[in-house]
Amino acid sequence: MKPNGSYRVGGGAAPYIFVAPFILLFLVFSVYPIVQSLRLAFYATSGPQDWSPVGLRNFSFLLQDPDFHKAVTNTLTYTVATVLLQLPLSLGVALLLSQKWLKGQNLFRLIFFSPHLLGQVFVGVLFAVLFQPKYGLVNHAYAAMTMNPANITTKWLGDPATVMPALVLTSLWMYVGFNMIYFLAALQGVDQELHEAALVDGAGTLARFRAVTLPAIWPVCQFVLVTSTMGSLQLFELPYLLLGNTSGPDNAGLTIVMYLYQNGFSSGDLGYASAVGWTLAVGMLVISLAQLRLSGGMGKE
Amino acid sequence: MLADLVLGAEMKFPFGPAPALMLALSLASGIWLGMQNRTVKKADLVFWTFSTTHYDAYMKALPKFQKQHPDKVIDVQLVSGTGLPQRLQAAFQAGLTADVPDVCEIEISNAGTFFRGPVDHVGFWDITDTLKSEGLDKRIIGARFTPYTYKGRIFGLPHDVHPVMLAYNREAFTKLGLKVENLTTWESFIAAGKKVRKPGARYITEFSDSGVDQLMTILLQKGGGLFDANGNVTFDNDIAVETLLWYVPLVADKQESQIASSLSSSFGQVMTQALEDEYFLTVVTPDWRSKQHETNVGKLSGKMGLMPLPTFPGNPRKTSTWGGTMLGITRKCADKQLAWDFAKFLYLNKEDLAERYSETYILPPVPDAWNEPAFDQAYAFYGGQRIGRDYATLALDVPPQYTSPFQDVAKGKFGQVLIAGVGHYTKSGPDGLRDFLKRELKSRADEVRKRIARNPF
Repeated sequence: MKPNGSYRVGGGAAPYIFVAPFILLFLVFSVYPIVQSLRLAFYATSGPQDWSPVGLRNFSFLLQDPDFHKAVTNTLTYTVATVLLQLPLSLGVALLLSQKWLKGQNLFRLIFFSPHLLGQVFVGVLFAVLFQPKYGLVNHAYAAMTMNPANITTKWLGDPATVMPALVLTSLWMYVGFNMIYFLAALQGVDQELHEAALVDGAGTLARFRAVTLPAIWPVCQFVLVTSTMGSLQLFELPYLLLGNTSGPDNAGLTIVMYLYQNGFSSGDLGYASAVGWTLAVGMLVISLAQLRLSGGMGKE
Repeated sequence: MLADLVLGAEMKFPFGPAPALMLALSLASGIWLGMQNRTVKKADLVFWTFSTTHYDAYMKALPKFQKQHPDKVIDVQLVSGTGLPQRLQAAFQAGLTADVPDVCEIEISNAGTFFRGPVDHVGFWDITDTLKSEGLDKRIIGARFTPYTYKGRIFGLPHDVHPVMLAYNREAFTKLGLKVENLTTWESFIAAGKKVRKPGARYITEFSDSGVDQLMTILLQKGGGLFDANGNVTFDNDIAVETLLWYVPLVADKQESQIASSLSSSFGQVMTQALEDEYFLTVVTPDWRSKQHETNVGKLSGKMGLMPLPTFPGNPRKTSTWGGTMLGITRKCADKQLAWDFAKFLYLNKEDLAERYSETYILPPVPDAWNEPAFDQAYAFYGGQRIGRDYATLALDVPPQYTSPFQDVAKGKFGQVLIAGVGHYTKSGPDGLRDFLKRELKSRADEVRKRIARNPF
């Protein structure tokens, strides 16, 4: 016991005691499943009693599996489409909502952000109804806009060609406002003196955006780019619910994670599902590193 | 500070007052929990079902069973339809017993996923010998065991038959001059469909051009299927080719041959509206759906009717099947006799089956129960039609339906051929459609065969 009356754990053990619960939980719930799933990827299984080593066959089957190819193509299409559309839109909305002349900024911010509060499950169910042929609001708007009453029967979720646009539209509705928040925060940190100096130098709006705003918010752009890409590559709930617990007609809404789920939990092929999972993890790592490198986010100022 | 009060100012807790407070609270709550009286006895039998209708009916019947087994506690739990197979599958795969019920109901589309590996490693108890020794295999319609049979062994007791009829709008039929007695063959049905079709506004029936629910009922009616009894892929055989060849022109959008269409969902408000608007004049209706119509489409009360499926030349079958549920007893169940008694009580007790039929309109697979008066009840929604008797008349002819762990994969591939076939027909018409479908079916079926061949068990 110390002179002031408090007990102390000797030998500097306190930090270890503090982190021990996390380490323990991390080992049990993260490290063990990760190691186990890596092991599984090299086996064919059917329950705990039936494990058969298959070497790299799970991975080699991926290369010739048309459904996996479809899942990869769909996921990449979705990722590219959402990232390319979402980021400029989010930034555009943020720029608009940060204008001093705009009245009711807070209300608009809430309106744009609120779809994200609903969650993917609710949004999936909601848009499944909105996209209905004949009765869905989307088709009523589409028919009115194109002045073609026949468009009212467009099967957004029943036609392989329109499933992906429907998914991207839904995702934009949900995430543009979410990423807008990051950009709004970043825009508030832009040095106004630089803007004023550029203005004095005769720089126009576009030139000021390019030379002052964009460099100042670039780290946030990188962050949003990487997190949006990661989120898109892991897409599951939205198409799963939008397409009524299926991968859609002709697998048009099949994503890599959905394919993993189908193999692991519908077909019970855990070994193959693990191989899909590890392929996705490695792919995501490569894409993220490439993104960071290309956008100058790896240690370069 | 509370911690100071608890520990005293002289004796400080090593990590400060906050952890001391947390520790004190957790100790207090732990002691409080420990002092609670544990009067609830652990259940002797845990039963999972995914259907609210089933759950309500079973809860109603439960007191009778409890009376017969006063010393046993039966815990009937309603588990999410999506969650139940996933939880069970995960538990079986991991060899867990903690999250496994003693008895559970599995929806037919999930049943095949449980039948993998050696027969004695399936997570359900093999009831084949018990069924035979008690003569129940003869009492229940044989075709209904097929989805729950794996390598010749039966793992599930069928809950239903789910014979299929066509629900039709009587009022619209009269208005358009359609007569049920003239629509006994698909040929006459298609001819009538062409007459009453109003593109984008009215179709004689709901057939999807991308989903396979209705296509599967037709395939089964024609005697086909995705798999045979041994789990071999069969959806590239002649029956499948002929079925698609017949079906594709009927659903190809904006084509002269089109008589049917679909919405993205066959259920809920959208379907209700479509029926009320006479967008569809008929819909494929297994017994379970007849109740849904009554609940959802109140406006059409007294105006709906049910007719048998039209027939194909040389095939007198006027029905098919869509959906199903099995009851399985898990291997981990400690009291299999109690579980078996409970299963028989729920699925084979004639009086209860009749009562349950009145509530769900689902025909049990036990023909000797169909003599109960409930099955002759006339329903106002269906214009006084005795639909139970009509379904029962068709039920003995319900086709077998074999399953596999690769059921979903095969269904998906079959759907891909449908979409490709519709695309081909829309572009090129009937020219070369047969060869195209044959080629596509063979190619997709081979993909499923490759997947199956990967399984070394």
